[in-house]
Amino acid sequence: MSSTTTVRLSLSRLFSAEWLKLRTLRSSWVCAVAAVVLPIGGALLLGLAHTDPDFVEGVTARDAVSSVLSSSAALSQISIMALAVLVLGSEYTGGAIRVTFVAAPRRLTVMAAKALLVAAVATVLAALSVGLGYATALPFLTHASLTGVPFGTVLGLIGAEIGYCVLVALFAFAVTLAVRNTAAGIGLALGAVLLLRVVLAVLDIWVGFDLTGLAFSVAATRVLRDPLSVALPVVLAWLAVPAVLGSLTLVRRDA
Amino acid sequence: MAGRPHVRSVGAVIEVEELTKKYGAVTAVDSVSFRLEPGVVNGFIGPNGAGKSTTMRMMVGLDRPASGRCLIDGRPYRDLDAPLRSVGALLDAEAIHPGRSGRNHLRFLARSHGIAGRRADELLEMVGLGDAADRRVSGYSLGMRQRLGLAAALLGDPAALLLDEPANGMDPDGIIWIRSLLRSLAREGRAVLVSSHLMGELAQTADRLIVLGRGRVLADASVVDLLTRNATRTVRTRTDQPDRLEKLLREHDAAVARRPDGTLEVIGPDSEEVAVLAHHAGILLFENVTVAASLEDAYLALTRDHARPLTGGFPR
Repeated sequence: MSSTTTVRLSLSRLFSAEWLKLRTLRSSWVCAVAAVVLPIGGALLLGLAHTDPDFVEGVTARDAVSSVLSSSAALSQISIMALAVLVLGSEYTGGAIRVTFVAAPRRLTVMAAKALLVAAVATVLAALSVGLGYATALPFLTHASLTGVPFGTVLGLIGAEIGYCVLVALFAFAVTLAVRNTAAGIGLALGAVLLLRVVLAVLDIWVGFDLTGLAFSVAATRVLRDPLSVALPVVLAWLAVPAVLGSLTLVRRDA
Repeated sequence: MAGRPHVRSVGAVIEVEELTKKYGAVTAVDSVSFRLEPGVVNGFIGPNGAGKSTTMRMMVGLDRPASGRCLIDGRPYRDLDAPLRSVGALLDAEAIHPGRSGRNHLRFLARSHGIAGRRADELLEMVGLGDAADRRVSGYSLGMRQRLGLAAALLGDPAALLLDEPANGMDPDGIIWIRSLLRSLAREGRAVLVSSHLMGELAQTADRLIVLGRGRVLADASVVDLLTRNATRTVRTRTDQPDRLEKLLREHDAAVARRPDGTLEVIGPDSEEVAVLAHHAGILLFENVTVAASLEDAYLALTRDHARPLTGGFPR
């Protein structure tokens, strides 16, 4: 009988439950497949471009590899962000979050489990998309004699792109935690990651100061190249502000 | 479970103490207190907007009370080690992700509490959703969602159940099924709180009734006590001299109402007193019966002045 059973809610059990939730939704698989297939398509096109002698003129092997990997991550990040938003937003849309909170009333622990899941899934999807993208483009790069990049360097570049995807996924999750809505979460997260850089670049001209470093995408890229750079507090602020605001709302408001 | 009856050795006692909830200037729940004992079906009844759902949501930590608390075996809900094993709640049958199958809905809840997956399958069969288990919830009717919500509430074999209008959307067979289910769950030693705004739903099921009106507890008593205290017994009498009898009864402090068919509804004296008065006045009675008071009457008497006014009206 249940009264004699000693089972405790734990982060690992909640993570496992959240994983089951995620993989039992069709929308999750659509995002996951898109996150892997789109970068492969992009890498294929980029690889084909490298067969053009005019295109590769002056391009080093390292530049070519870096370009393939970053374009794979850039194409993958949109689907990964959408997935990160859906992990939470889809539960708020229909009120299913209330079932979750009845089962697990410690809300911050639930959010920690979801954030861990987002990070884990983003890592796997980014690794697959960047890795497969590289594998797709490699024959074309070899054909163009853009080879000879040390394996360790390639791994480092891949790791940086994976890290970038994980950061944007966590950012999208934090934004959704703050707004508690799928459409707003996707709109704000994509806007901040993809558009803000462009807007700040335009404003640079007016203020005569490098504002683009304040954009999340720019700061995240810099941090992954140099973790202790001045971009670190910028990235932390982008992650912490929506996460803290969302967490305060979460524990103070009715579900 | 219904298919595998057992009597629980330990049941949960739920104590609701002075729970209060305010939305701006409106006090939705006002110092509500009651206690749920094992083995008892408690009906939680009141008009729409009385505060039943809000109270139940506060009991499981979904809504934050302005003051007061709810303790399950002495602990707040959020401090329970495994909430689903202590309290099973069905608060909103629509709050289920429409894109997930019924089976997967139960499986993720089971996994969070270390409950075996086969338990989900057993419960789906028990609530009559075995054939629809792998269909997405978006294809379920409201009645099917209620059944799935009940299965979720029973997943942890909990000592207490909080069910907010579980018969909503169910067909007559489903309503009969849920009544017997509630009785059998209480017989197993569980504390059951089931809400409704329809007394008819609870009259045949509940042992005890907690009546809520405008956010306050108007009555918390057994069904028998509630009837005795609040229902007005009437005497229906028929005569060929209704005007004389009505005047006579009024002279003896009775309240009398004339029905369209000519019979008199008398409140005050019992049927024997009416007969004696008529006999002494030489009035012949063709009919003189006591009309048994109903729980519905008792409920209406209690809540008559405590329904929140809702926007709306009669069609013109």
